[in-house]
Amino acid sequence: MGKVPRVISLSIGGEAVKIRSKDREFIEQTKFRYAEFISSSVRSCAVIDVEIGVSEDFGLPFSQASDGPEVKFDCAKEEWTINWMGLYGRWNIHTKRGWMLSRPGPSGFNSFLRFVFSLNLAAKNGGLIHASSLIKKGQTYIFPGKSGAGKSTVARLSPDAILLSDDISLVKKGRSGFSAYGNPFWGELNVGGENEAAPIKGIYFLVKDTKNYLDILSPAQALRRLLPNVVFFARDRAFSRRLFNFCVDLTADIPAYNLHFVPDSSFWRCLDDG
Amino acid sequence: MMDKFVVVNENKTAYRVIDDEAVVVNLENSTFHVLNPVASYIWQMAEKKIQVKDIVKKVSEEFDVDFETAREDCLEFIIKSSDENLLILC
Repeated sequence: MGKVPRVISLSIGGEAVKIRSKDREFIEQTKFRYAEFISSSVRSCAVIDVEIGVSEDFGLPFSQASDGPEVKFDCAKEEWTINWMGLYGRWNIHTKRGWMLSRPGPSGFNSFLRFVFSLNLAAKNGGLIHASSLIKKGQTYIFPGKSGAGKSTVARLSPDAILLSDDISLVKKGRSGFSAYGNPFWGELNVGGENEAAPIKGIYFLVKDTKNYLDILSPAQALRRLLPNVVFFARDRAFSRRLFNFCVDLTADIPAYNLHFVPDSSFWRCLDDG
Repeated sequence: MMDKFVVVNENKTAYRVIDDEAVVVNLENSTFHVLNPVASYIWQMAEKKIQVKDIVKKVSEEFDVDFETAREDCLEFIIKSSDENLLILC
């Protein structure tokens, strides 16, 4: 372990973040894991300092809770903390500075990055959704669903589409409406998304079936189906209100459907027609 | 007996009405509820403190149902929502 922190700059969903760590192995793993998102920009506004080790060495409380992360907000410090299965992290929402401690391996940092992005995006009319997302003909198709719904299957069956993610869709509202962004939050496919972005054409809730067809949903039905798929790390009123408003706006602006599909690439025919 | 009780929405909720249906989120635990048009109407009235009897009267008029039927439906929703910490009944 060297004395001077090594630095990597990442750009994910148009958000720049500088990662600093003295752990050479972590830096090398991160360069490899996030290669698609490494940025040469020096204008990183967010900074995360990473320590690799175990919480006992740092005198930190250790949570083994398996039912989800323990997330707290300290109003005085304006700081969020996350404590979960060997990961301990702090994130200041105003200074955009964070610190995390994780056991060796890439999963701790990736979880912390999801946590940080879920908080930052909520402040910008954006959010993370449990959904695979693919670009075809310059437009993004979003396929939300819990584990086992078929998110990775849809991605696997779409070799001619640009993969943004097979597990977590990063969605933001810009001047021209809602767009989805490639990100490194992958699922079963074990492949990161491409660092691309495109406006969202539609939201397609996956329903495994024996034939392919689309059922259009009303905005209220779409909102009802979308809410359980939004990444909610923090049980906080202001944060939840922002995410709720984001979901309302998204389902009001973007058409949503139940996509009944058979597990082969033929489902694209009804999307291309739709 | 409950007619003089006052109802108001909990401030730990957020909601939007879309196509006559209110989608209500409990911001404390992130659970959400989709209300039918009658419940949505009651929910919007309860933005400000309102007596149960006034809610029943307005529901009866708005949805053209007899007072007793309206009262039964309103109380069912109000008690259930109170149990789920969405409405305050006092």
